[in-house]
Amino acid sequence: MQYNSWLYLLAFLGVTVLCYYLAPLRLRWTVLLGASAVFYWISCGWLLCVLPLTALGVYLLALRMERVKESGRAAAAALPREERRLLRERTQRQTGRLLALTAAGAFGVLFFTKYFNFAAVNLNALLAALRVPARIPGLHLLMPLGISFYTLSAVSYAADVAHGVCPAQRNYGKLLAFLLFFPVITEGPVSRYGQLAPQISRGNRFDCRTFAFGVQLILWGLFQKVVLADRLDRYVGNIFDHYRSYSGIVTALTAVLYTFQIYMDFSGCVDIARGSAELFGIHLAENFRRPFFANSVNDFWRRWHITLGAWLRDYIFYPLSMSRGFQRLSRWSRKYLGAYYAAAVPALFALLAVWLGNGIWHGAAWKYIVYGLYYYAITALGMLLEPVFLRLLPALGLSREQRGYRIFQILRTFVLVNVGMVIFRADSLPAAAFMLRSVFRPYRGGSLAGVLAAQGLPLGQAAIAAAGAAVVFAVSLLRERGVCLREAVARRPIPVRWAVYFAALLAVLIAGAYGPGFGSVDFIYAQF
Amino acid sequence: MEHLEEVIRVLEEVKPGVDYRREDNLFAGHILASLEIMMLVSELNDEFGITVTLPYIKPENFRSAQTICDMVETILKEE
Repeated sequence: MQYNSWLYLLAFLGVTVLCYYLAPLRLRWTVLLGASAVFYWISCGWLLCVLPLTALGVYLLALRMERVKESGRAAAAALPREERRLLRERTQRQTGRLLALTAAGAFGVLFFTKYFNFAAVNLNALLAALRVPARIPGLHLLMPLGISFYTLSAVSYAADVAHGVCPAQRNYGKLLAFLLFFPVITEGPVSRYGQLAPQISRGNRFDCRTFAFGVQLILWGLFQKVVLADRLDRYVGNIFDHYRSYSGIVTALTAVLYTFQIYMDFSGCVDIARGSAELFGIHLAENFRRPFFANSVNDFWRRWHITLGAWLRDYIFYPLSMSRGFQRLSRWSRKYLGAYYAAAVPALFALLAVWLGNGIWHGAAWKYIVYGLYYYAITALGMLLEPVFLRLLPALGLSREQRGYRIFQILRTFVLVNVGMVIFRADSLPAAAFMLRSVFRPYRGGSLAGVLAAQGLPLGQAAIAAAGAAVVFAVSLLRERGVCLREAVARRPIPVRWAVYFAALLAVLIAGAYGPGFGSVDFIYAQF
Repeated sequence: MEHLEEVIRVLEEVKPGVDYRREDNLFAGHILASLEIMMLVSELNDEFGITVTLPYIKPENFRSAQTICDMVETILKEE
């Protein structure tokens, strides 16, 4: 069930909201659990069984971790200092083993359903190269909907219990209600137990303001998805499918349009998800913060898919950086390389794991791994050269605070992100390399307007897309300057507010990419 | 509280140019990036002879100089 379908917006969401507010407060979480099960059942049938089964494992192991910690704490109280330290270390090792088991189980299911065939194909190629006659057979596997997002939430819950960030949930149903929560299961945002689960469990009273904000977000999400992202889909798809026929300005513009398409598609979906949750008084984490105002690649990833970046930081980067081996490396670096590189050198190794994780999380293909490594290379280079930049910029009379330099940084980041998006979207790595090279070859196959019209974006459609992009830019600029448009609309008198809502609804209905020439376009990130 | 001045000195070594007596959004505001958090942890370990372990690496402990100081004092007590 697509978040932008009438089935979801009117039937499913409408009925769920009604049932939620009619149910007694303490049972409202059961309505959300039931709705999530129905959503999942409609979306992928019997695969619904997979996640509750794996969630049962997570639930039991988290309870076990908590029992180990509690018994450790109780026993430590009566011990002298040294023995207390030893006991604490033993308890940490035990919870660490349980956490590793939980993560192995959760990632095992993800690996099997998402990466098994990719691993088999590559291993078979290796075996063939080594002239070993054995082969791993490919399997016809169905991937449960949202397994990537579910896995991250499940592992973060187990890690938070192990590290004492949150208590283990004793009610299996409530844990399931968090893990399967229907607004986030398809495309996130990646949810943390401590942030989301209490809001689901407690049940929320109807709040007119939050409800109205939810409706606003859904409309804004629909605008991004239906008016903008879907409008560009046919043109972008045609050019990427026949990339060898194009070059120069056509290829460059296609890269920019794809970047815009995926941003509007993903951000639109997340806004519909966040708006849906707000109808129940539940606030989800922000996943985008005007990413194209970023002044560096690092800054971009703090603004784009924020919850994935935060997950990788908290559950891969920090644990690796703080591990004994990395701390030893840090001490060595401090001794021979100075304070900056004492942190930078271990971070470079930890970041390799982060970016490989980021790349492969997106899909089972080499292009995604290269996509992650591309960002790693940029980040690592920036980190290694930072002390050089700090000396060089003043010597050249430049400052990072200067407006001109900041604009240069934003443009540079935009170009780097577009290169990454070509790797991400192209059919294969050779295709991506061809497209990136062809940007520097002039296009001689006719006018740009002619190509746009022939490939699915005639002048009228391009004008609507450009006007929509201008609206998105204006809204982003205002928000970047600290203006909260939701608050501004909410402060207006009722007639003005409703006029805004109807205008947004009409924009979606009239300017949406429906009808002849447009097909139903799946959310891009749903496949990850 | 008794270690607040030392914590501020360490913070100024890691990232100068921030008013650590007033700033209370160090982590969420990205004033301290991941790399600087790791540098800070390394410096705190050396300065106070402690081991900041993973469970302490959470946003609420790195909100301000005061919360960092509270964390250091908790670890000192535990160790």
